[in-house]
Amino acid sequence: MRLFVESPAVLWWMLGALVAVALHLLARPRADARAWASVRFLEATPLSLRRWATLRDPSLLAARVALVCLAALAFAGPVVVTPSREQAARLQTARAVVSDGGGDMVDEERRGAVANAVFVRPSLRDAVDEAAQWLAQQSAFRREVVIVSSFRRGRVDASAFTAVGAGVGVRLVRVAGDPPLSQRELAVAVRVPVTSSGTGVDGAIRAGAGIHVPNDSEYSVQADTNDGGVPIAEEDEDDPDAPWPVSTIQVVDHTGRWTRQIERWSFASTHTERQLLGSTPMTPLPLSIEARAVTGSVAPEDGQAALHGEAAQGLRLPPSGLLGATVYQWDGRPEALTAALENAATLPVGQWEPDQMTDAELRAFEREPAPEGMPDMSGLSDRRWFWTAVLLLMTVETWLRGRSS
Amino acid sequence: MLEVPRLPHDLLWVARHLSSTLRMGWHRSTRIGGTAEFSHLRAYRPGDDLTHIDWKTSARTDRLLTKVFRMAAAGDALLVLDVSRSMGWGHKLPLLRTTAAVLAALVIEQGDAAGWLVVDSDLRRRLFPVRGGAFYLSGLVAGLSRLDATGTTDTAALLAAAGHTLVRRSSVLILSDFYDDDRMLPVMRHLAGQGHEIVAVHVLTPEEQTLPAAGAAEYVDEETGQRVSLEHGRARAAVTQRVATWRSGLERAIRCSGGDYVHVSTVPTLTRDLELWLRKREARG
Repeated sequence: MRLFVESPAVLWWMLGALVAVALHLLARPRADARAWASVRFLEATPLSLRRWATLRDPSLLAARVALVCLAALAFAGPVVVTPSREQAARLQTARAVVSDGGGDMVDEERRGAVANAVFVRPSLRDAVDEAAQWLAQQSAFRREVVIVSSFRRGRVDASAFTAVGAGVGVRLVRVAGDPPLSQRELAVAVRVPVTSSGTGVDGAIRAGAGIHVPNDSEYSVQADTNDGGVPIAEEDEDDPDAPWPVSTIQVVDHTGRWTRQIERWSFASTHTERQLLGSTPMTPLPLSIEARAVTGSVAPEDGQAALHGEAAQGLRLPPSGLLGATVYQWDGRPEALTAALENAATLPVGQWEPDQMTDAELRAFEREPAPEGMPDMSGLSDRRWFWTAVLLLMTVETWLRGRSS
Repeated sequence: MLEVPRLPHDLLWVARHLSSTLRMGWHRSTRIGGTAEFSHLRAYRPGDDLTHIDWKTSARTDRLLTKVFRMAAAGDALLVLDVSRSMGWGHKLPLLRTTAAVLAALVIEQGDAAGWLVVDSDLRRRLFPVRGGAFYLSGLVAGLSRLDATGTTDTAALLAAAGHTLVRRSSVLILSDFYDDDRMLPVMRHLAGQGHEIVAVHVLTPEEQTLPAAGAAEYVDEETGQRVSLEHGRARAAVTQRVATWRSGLERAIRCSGGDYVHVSTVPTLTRDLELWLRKREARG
């Protein structure tokens, strides 16, 4: 068991005990008054100086000194740290519940799925940043961020937790069910297995080798299957530079419960894309690498451009015949694009990419609080006990003073 | 050892006990007052006091003759009590009450009358008339137990009041600490000249005669409020010497004024003090 104080500077007030000692020595009466029958035969004598050097009423002086010291200690906010108290303080947790206030969570909150949101921001990253700032100001020993969201793909990634301290725990709570209709159709990614039949490009598409396509090379790929609604078109042999044909395809979402006809599916329309997708007559099916932004200010076209623009420089594609990847809420960072592609690469070929992050992905972000140092127990101040002791000492001091006088 | 009586019946019991003790131990000398004068001679009877035998006449007449005395003055005694604030200090007031009660018991139980007189600070007299009888003694003692210490010492006024009260020659026993003795002595001489027997009972505790060992202290006079600061170690010897000198001088002056002097200091030693006084009184004849 030990003792610490909330305001150590106040302990300097204990020097007031010196004042108490000085007053005790200086303020004592010249001599005890004693009633006497008659002073007729008494003659005044000079009082001995030794009297001043003799400590009188040591118990009273001790009580006064203890009174001053105890009062200073009480003002300083003393906390008696017992093992049980320390253990309890170590288990004390400040919890910031972050409710995703953007995207579909707006609807979720509107319909009561989210009961209490402390930090509700359109951007989950902003909310986490604010939560981290708030947690930094808290005195609890354990800190953790609880993020409540539907965790649609793209809503959260590792970069969202850069502001969260190392010892702060992260807990992700998934809420909400199916995405809204308008979101679901955009969450569909189309992919087909591809094989390479390219010419003039060394290394074309190989399983496990990834795709690296120089801008000015000619390249072609061939799909093994036609599952997944990928349009099959033939190139106009007479006019190689003519736009790629547009066909109507059927898209089925990953739940299989919803289908929709996309009337006009436009494959690559630029020269660069044509190079990328293959332009030889022998290419029955072009490779399509698309990047689409589902929500936010980024249009699907922007994502497509980004894939072939500066953001794609040095981009390493996953080692599979990836044809499509979806970037949700893409904010222009290549990392987001890479993450989307890597995620898409993990999916079985020919399957729909889930539009929500998997539990395994979420677990990668979660961590337990790992506090360091001593817990803050300033809230456990024992001031009241010390003030009670001060009052008791005042009573003792009064009693001693009365007895000495 | 007797303790200071606190209740009236305690005081009466103590007075009777001490009185009987004194009379049993020294019967003849306990007679207070009643100054004897020679009346005539008669033949000796067994049991007569040998000191009363007139040896010269017996030698001339060749037979034992005993002197017969008659009381020249009444055996009545008036206890004049100083109940000033200085007498209220310490245990002086209980000592005063006890001493007065014992003396009253001595007088009344020898068949004479006794009473007491107090003069308060406004010079108003409070008189318990001089009368006799055992029943009267209990009332007298009860009155003593109700006395409180107030006002200032004025033994001269006390004796003067006693002179005005007494209509015949009596014994006047004044009980006081006599801190104002200088004014008292002329009045005492006057009373003695009127034929009263004056006995000054000096009530002075041992603490007043020797300073208690209390280091430095500021002594405050009970009556005047005067303050004197002194240190015990330096002043005690001088104070003790000063009080002893004053006491012996006071005794001398009282005797010269025609009075008798007895000093009582504590209740437990009261019997001894009074017995010594009675022995000396007897020895003086």
